[in-house]
Amino acid sequence: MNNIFKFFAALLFSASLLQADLKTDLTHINTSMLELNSSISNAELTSNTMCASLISLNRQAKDIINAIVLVNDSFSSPITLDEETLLLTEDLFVSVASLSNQSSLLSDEMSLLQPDTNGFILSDAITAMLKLSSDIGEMADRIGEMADNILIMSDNIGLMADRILETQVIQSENMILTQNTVMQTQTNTLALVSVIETASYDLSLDTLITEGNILITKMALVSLNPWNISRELEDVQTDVNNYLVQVEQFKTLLNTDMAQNTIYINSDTLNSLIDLSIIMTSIGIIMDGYGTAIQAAQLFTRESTLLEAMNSMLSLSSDIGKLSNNILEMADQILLMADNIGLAADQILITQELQSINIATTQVSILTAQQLAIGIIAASN
Amino acid sequence: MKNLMKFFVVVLLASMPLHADIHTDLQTLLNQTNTLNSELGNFTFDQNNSCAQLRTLNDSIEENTLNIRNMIETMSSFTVTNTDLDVLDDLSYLSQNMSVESVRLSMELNTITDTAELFEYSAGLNAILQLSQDIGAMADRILEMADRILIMADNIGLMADRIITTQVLQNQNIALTQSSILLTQQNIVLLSDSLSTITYNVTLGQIIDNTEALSNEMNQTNLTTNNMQNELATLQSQTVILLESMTTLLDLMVTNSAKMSHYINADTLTMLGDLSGIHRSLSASLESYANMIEQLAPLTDTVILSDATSTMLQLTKDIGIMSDRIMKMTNNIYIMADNIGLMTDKIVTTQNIQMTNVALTKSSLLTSQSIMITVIKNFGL
Repeated sequence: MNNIFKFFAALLFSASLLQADLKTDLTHINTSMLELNSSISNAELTSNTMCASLISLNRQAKDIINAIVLVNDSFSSPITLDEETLLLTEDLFVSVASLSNQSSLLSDEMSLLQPDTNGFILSDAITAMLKLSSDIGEMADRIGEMADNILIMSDNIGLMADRILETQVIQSENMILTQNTVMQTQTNTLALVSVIETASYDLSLDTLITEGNILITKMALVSLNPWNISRELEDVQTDVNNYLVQVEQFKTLLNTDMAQNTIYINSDTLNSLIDLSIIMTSIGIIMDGYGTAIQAAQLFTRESTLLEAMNSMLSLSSDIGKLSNNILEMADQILLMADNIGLAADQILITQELQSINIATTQVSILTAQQLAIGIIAASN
Repeated sequence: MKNLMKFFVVVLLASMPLHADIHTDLQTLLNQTNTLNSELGNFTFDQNNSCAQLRTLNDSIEENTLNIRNMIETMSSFTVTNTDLDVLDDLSYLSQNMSVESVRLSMELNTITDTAELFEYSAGLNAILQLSQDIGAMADRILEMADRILIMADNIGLMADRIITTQVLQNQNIALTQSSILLTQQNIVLLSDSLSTITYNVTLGQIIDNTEALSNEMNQTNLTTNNMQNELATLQSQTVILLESMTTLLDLMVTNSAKMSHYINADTLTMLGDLSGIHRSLSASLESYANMIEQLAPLTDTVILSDATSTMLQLTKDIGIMSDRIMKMTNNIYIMADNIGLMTDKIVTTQNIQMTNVALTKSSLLTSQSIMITVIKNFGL
């Protein structure tokens, strides 16, 4: 009899300990939620950087969710419901509604910064903001689950029925508020997403490729001799410079578009970028041919003509160098702003590799041309 | 003669400060680039404030590149010195060294991918892509400046050997820089994995079929004073199985979305919208059950009624969790979606459908719970 009494006493004691633990857990969770609320309200977003603040907030939110999940997993024995437990549960519903409201204000702040914010920074911020509001939505769900668990595990529902029904009214009101605000925040944040499909550039890129091929044909048709060397190289330099202007115009358009948008890459664009780098290789090969022709004609050409030609050659090399750089930088910019890097990974890797090989080959040709020109200028001096 | 001398003195004086300016500018540029190189060398990727720090560093590199560009555009004819060429060599080395640092950072990111969530290290991926692009642009401008100096220097002939040494060095370093940048970009691209949500459609389809079957069964089940305990227990065990399959799918999505971005398949969103509609029917059936139990309560054995109310509370909890899981699935899919910009409208539509359904589901569940609590109270269960 004594043992049975001891057993029930132990059971009662452990149940009361469990109850005390639950109250402590609920209090801690609510404190963490209030802290998160304060962190969101103090978060500083600027048009230069948003990621650090948002990532920090996301971590806080995730920790709270984990704490709630832990409590949800720990219900194993009956609970005797009391006023304090119900009050603490109500506080959680009120706090999560307040959190959703605070995160909505943060998304408004982000919307205000949008016009001055680079698309690349905004893209990270949009993701982090969506994640934060999703986490707050999940927090609300988990709190709802916790309330259900408390209800299921309680052994005095009948006695506390009226008070439980009051809690449920508060729960219902706050849950509706939370869900609507989270939804509104997510919709507002999604409205900030602005994407351009690279397919819209295909026509411009096709034009650049066509113009590039015309340039190659014109350059290939030039036959340098002691009489025309200066004039022909000057003409070629003008043609290359005109092409450089077109490429730079396109690059400026690309940079302007990407200031506020991200990019969705299609395979044709990547192929066009490879084609452009192949054009550069062809120009490099023609430059090598010019070098051979100049060396052959060098002895029979007037010094002043040769010097003029070499100056053109240096300018030509400089412009071809700029062309190569522009093409590589355009590819880098498209990669940076791309939403679908993972999806297009294989083709991006091939494109980058081919471009790199082609441009490196072109740069070797440019160096050879420069060395030749400097050598001739030095010899003339 | 005197006037002629004056003219030459003026020309000499005019060219001296110009030369001094370019020389000073080059030295200043070298100092700035040295500082940037040290800052980058000291930068280590951790999970706290890295993206903001890297952003500041990127801004400084962009500013440096802009300075080089301004120098190129305003450069006039001058006499190049050995010191100037030394500066060019050093600049070229520095940019090459910085590109190697970008490779180090891209490899460092691998170390945090296990602990950080995708959206967190995605900000890091973007920042490093931006860094490698900025370093590439800086290296390009340095090379272009070397080319420009070649055109603007009035003593190429005298300095030919030294200039050629610089040009060869520049060429070697730009090749190394480009290959490091390529490696950085490859590392980033390889870290950017993507998965089409179409892979979830089969499982999602099965869950929809099973949920529809459960919904049909609930509609066809008539509760009586005798069968309510058994019928509800059967439905609850079916619900648990369904909840388990949904949890398994959600866990898969959570695991995948921690490491991979998603390519949204429109059907997946449609199915998730449909699923939330079926849950609305489930909760409506549950509300009808609650009303029926309330009506039958006075005629029902207390033990049966007690079991039935407990099972009802468990059912409301399980259906509530399933309803939450659907929202969570949708969030997991679109937060890191490759095609978020292209699917924005569809996402918002799906969310609206889900929100409406979930709100009605929750309302029915809460009503069911309230009725059960009242029954428990009134019958002293």
